[in-house]
Amino acid sequence: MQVAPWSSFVDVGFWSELAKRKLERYRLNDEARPLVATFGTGNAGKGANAPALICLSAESLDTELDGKDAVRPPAYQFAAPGTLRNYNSHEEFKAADKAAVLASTAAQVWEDIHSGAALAEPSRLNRFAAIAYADLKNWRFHYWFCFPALLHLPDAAYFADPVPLSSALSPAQVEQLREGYDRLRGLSGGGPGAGGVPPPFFLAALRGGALSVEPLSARAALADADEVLLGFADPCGLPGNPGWPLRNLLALAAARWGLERARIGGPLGLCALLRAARARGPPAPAEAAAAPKAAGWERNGAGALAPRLADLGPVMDPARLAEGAV
Amino acid sequence: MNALKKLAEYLPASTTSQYAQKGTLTAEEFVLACDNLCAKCPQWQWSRGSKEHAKAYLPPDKQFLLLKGAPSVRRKEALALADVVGEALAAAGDEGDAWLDTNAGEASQTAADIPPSEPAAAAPAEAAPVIDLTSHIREPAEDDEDVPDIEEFDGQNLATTSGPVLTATEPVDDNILKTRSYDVSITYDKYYQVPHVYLFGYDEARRPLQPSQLFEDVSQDHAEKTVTIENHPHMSNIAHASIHPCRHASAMKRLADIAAASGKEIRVDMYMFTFLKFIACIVPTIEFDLLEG
Repeated sequence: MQVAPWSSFVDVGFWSELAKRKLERYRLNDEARPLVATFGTGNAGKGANAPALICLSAESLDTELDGKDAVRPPAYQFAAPGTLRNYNSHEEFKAADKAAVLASTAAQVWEDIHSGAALAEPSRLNRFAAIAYADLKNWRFHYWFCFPALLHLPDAAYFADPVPLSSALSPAQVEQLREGYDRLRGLSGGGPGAGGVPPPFFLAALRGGALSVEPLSARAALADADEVLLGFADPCGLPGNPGWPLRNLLALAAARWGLERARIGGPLGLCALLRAARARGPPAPAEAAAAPKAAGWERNGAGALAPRLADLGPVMDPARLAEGAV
Repeated sequence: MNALKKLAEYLPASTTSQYAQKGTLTAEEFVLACDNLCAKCPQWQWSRGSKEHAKAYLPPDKQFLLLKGAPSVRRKEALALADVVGEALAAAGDEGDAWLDTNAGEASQTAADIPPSEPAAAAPAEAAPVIDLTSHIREPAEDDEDVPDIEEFDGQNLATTSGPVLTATEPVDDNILKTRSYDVSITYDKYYQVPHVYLFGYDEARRPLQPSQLFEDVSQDHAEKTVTIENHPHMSNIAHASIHPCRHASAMKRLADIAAASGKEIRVDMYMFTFLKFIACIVPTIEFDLLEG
């Protein structure tokens, strides 16, 4: 089983805001700052034409998932927490220790799994890190994203071919899934997600043919269920591959619950795929072991493991704009 | 004109509806119509923008409407549709008040003059029911991005070999359609009392487009006339393609009249749906009219 990677999509408002903050507030301070990205699930069935986008915009900067500056993802969107370290020079940017960034971000995810923080706040499983260098003389922004996926179960494999959710669940169950998820994220009935960000990971319990949606933290209370499904907000459009978030969900399920087989509900059951994966993992360790290996640096437009570049000279440089305006 | 526009920013916003007479909107009607659009098409979202550019006549959390990543794939069919709607509008209105041309009198080209810039644009949807994943994976090639030599990043153990993760993000197969995408934002133009559309485009690799490239997606009748490069009012240092709003009100009035003639009423809360159909003639290749979806 292979998971499809995230594709970062940084909009121009983000760079505009970063440039402003760099000049007015950060100056030479290059410490890592919190960042919130958003993503949606509307790609199911669109295939390779629809990359799994994770979006950064002006609102993404200097915000946390909770607290007074919390980012409220728009309807049908989810939030992922991360950090941005903006270096002062191209040399420092190039010299950044990428392996260490990946390892420490992955270790945070692993720690959140073992401390239970990821159960209470599932968005933490989608944690990412970014490094950047803003060349404000030329309005060129070098950047590189790292989305750690824990390779806790490197030999996970399908035990059955993926099928659409609609053929794995009855229409009534699909409806129960949708209603249950709306309740979970607080759209109706004041569920656990009320007022917060919608959880991108959840459980669905089947009891005598009836389906109920539960938060990850309710796993222990579902011992009586006939079957427990893992659900996640899947940004991926490929029919045969789940998206990147699945890796960390499987790592959590294996590490905490000794999961061996999983049936995985797709993006909230709406025109989704039911994805099945076999996960043969070690039994849950009593204590947090060292974080497993992780993968996560994003490839650039040419498919290489190297940074991306946003050249905004033509649209931000006052001199060049004046030239074009004649 | 600019001085007048600046002055308009300081005057209180009009609160008397003149929609029925002139096709204009008050700020409140703009918010109402946009709320309705967001409810029907959740891809559209309100944005609060940056505080320093906030307009007092709009709610702080509803400064402008934003549609992120609207795809731009259809070219020929979209242009043909634009022709049909354009003809209907032209037929309904008098010649002297050409709705689509802010520089009246200039020779206009037909939309057919626009070369389809992406030959692969044919049949995008039905092309790829079966996807060979191996075709997405390729060796790192000559780097066309202006980035440091790849070797600088070697030896840091970043790559994971094959196995649990797919290793490519950008499909390079020619059968897979490459699409541009646009951020479409709609502000309220207080001077003209109509919505004002700004566009910012990204190429297939999600890199920002240059201003000149933006015009490739604009109907030839409008490029550099109705559509110009202008700074976004909420992102003052970034040039966007701006669709000049001076004829929006009369065009909207005319569309309402056409509807009325056939016994239909376009209520003010439905304004944005009609407005987007009208804007779609100007930028026919950008799919932001999501009503069908």
